[in-house]
Amino acid sequence: MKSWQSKINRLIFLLLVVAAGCNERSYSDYYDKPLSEWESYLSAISDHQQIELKNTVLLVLKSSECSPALAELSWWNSFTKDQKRIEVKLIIIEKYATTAKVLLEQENIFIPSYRDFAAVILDKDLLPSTPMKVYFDQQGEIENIKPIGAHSNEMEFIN
Amino acid sequence: MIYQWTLLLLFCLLVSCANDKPDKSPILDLNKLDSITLEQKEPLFGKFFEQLVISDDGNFLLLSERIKKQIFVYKSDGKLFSIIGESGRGPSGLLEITGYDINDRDEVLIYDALQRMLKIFDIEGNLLRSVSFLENETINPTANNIKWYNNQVVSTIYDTKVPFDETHKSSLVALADTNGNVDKVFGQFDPFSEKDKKLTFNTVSTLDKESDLFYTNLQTSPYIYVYDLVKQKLVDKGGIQTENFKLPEKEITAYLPISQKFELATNTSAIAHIFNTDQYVIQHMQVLTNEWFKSMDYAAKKNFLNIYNKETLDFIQEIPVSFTPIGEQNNKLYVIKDFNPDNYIIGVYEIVAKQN
Repeated sequence: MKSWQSKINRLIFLLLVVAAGCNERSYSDYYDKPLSEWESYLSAISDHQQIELKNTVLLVLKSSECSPALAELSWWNSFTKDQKRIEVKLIIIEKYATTAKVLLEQENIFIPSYRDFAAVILDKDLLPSTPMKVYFDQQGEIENIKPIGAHSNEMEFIN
Repeated sequence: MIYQWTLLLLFCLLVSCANDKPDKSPILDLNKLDSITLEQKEPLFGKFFEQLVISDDGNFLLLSERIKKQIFVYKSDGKLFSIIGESGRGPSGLLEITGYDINDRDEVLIYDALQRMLKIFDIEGNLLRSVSFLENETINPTANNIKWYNNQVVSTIYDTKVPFDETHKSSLVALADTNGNVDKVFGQFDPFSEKDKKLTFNTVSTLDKESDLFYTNLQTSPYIYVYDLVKQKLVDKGGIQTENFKLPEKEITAYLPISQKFELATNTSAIAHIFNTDQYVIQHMQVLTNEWFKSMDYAAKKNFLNIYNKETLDFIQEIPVSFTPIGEQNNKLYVIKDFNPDNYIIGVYEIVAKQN
């Protein structure tokens, strides 16, 4: 009995420490951000490339996110490989190019990636925090916003 | 006439007060001894945790790579010597390095919290042994605090039997053997955890092997508790709330949205490390800025050294510094001057009495 209680407490302790950081609740203000604001931001961080966001899941995380966020990143990596219906793009908030490169290599990520070296996305208040994912529908409207790594159903997120 | 006498008296008092005023000019200073640029070559490192373990003889510098989950070992001139462990499960596999240390035989001890295992490697990265650690215990070692102590392992801990809102009831120190069995659990969490308004389980520590003293400091508390590892009891305490020590205005609980947690914790302080030299006990205090929460750029935090007399634990001085202290060995303080992985610079300093 003592052993079970201790295991449950230990699990709660780990969840609190590891997963609580990936928990977020309300994002209603962020659904109204116009597509043009997002595209302007992406252009600014990608050396003025024109980046299409319609029908796209945009993943936004830092290079030092917790393990559940990285596990979900791996899921989206496989998803990109298996289908062409929805685009997936990744923004890494990281000051140093080598750190971002090591993350992509370590996690074997081939999702198109952009580096936001000064956390401009948070300055512009496009999202409240990271790690987050944003689903833009075919019209470029924001359809869904959720944290990455919060053990949600990814297929539900895009349906 | 009385008025003039009063003025004269006041004047004399003021002059006398000015003469008695303690000299507030700093009495300690940091003297730079060396600068080490870490070699960057394939396989690249991306980001190290803000912790440095230095071998007793100062020949090896060990850093924990947070993306690759490996320990990178450098020689004291900055040349890469070896890489210990590999990301994943398996005999040499590491999932989450939450503590590591090196002993005088250059054996590297690593605690993996996710696997709840203790792994011991030689300095070249060969696995010597791997054991389950505290498997049937209710205690968890707290991050970055596992240390070799003679042929034992010592760590600050948190007891998971204790409810999260009563952390002050938890025991604090565990001594274990290298088979992963607990020899002794003792000490008590800093009572300041009742009023720190932050949800934290982490206590930082430093070991003085010569005198068997284990200095502990809850990260959210200004207070230092000293345990004698032979007598296994508290022998001293000290610490003050320095000028830049700040707590959150409202309580931070586990279930708040992360953006709100960051907001409440902005501009509060935390004790990131505690070091000991022959003469001083040093708290490395960081102030968590808004910039830090946004970017997780280590350089965005403000750093201070709170220096105490080792003998008496009397406070001497708070020194703001422009770099990040991460380790101490043989009276030398090791600090990060540049976090850029392509130009990662460690500075080596000593604390000296300032020459007037």
